[in-house]
Amino acid sequence: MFVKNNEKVGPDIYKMVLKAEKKIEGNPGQFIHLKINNDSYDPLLRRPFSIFDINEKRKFLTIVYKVCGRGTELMKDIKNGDEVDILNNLGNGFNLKNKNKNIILIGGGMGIAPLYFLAKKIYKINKLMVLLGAKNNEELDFMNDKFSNLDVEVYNATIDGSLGFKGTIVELLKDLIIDEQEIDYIYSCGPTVMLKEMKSLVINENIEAEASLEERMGCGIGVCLSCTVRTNNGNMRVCKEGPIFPLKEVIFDE
Amino acid sequence: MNEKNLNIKLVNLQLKNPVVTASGTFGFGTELDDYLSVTNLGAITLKGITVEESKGNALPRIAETPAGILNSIGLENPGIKKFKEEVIPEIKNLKIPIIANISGYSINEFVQLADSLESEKCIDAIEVNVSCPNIKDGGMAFGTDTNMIYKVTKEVSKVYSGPIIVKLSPNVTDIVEMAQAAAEGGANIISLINTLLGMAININKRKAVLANTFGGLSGPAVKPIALRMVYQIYEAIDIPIIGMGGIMKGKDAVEFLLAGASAVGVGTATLRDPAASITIISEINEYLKENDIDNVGEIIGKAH
Repeated sequence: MFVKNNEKVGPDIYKMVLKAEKKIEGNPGQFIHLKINNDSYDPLLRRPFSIFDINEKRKFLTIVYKVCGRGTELMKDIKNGDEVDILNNLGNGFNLKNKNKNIILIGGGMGIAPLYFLAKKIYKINKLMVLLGAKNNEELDFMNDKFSNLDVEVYNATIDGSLGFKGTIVELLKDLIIDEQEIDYIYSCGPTVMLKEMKSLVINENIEAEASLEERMGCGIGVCLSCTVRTNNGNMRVCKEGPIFPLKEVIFDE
Repeated sequence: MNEKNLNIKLVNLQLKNPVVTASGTFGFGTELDDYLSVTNLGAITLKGITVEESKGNALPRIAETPAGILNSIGLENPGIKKFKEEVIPEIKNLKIPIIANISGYSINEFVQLADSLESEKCIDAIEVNVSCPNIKDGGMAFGTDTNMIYKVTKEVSKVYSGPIIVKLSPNVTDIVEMAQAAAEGGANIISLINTLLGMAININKRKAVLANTFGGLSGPAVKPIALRMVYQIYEAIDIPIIGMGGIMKGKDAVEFLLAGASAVGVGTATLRDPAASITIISEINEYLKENDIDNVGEIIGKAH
């Protein structure tokens, strides 16, 4: 694929639009595995990014990423028009079968990224509340703008209180549940600590929930077993059987 | 087309080219079907199996290092029983030599695994993994002791009639002694190198990156060491070698062949590019063309 656009949209946060030559495929919750450098073995491995958006007509696939290491440091300097090697259509994707339900999408930090494509696919046939959490307003502005353009209710939570609720996104979720909001289903993505807290919450409240997990990956296609997580149904590969799992089934390490 | 003759005979294994997948980087042979045609490879080596199911190590199990990867997967696998019930039916019709990789926590377990595979017609050879750095008992502890290598190989050869490949650890003082012990124990082929024990530290958290603290280093970073060891063994012993360690491109594979390997293992490259092994085959062919060599066998050991 070719890089159509690679621009800064927040503090260390970048948006990369890729253009495919032929057809573009991918479902919400799936990810791509991007090779950063063809000519060098440093970094050696690809980097996985969830799909932020797809425009099938224009053959665009968008990811949003945060610069946080050697790979993304190099990625931010990739120029428009450059070709990048992508493995696409990876992982299982979110459950898209919900209809006429009260649904919460909850994302923490870069975990918000896969929820936008999901929201676009399901907001017309469901009632969506979107909960976005980050450290501060600067980190949330881009995502908040994007979701606000959809017909969904958006709630923000920031640790420093600079936008929306002051506190963590899970605390905000708890408040909403206490307010006796009717909630049928939750989609979530974010840091492990957030998902772990959410797990006990959804078990207590008896709400069906699924979560997109992130673990360090090697191959991204199911052979190296670097990203195996424990679940009630045994070991599962985040890259293959996941990254989306029923939240109640994930066993988080102590 | 002008295709060169890439055929290699490893004992009684007929390979259509010298490229073999390295254990642990190719699953159980069918996972990469979307990316390549398995039957175009020389042979495949399956993910390591143990007697009992193994859940593997805690995460993180992988850490990237300059031109390399540290892994501590910990031999996650379903165990021999499930392997025979669920994996064998999936691969039994593949028209390509299949090598099963076995790991034991005791000599008896190695024997049990070899014995259990003796009856499986679709398994063409076994690779005895005496060199896994990621398990506490057995594994590398066997592969760094000549006496143990000899014993494991000897006992396995009593129950297994097909070709026995012994996979050596590079974490030793003298690799030739280890290869000799395997050969004396009855190994038909030597494969090397397994990964080099290493570690990475997260300076912000001030602790090891891998949950298991140490892991095995692979990738281009280890290639010079692997190449040197293949060269040394070729010089000292008359036994076929499957050389591996950081082979990313055809020219890397050619280096190993020139050092004395009869076949090469492709591992880490597959994690970067799922079809790397196939590309490497065509690049070996290109090398032969450019150098006007008809038969890949002609270059084996030619750097000596």
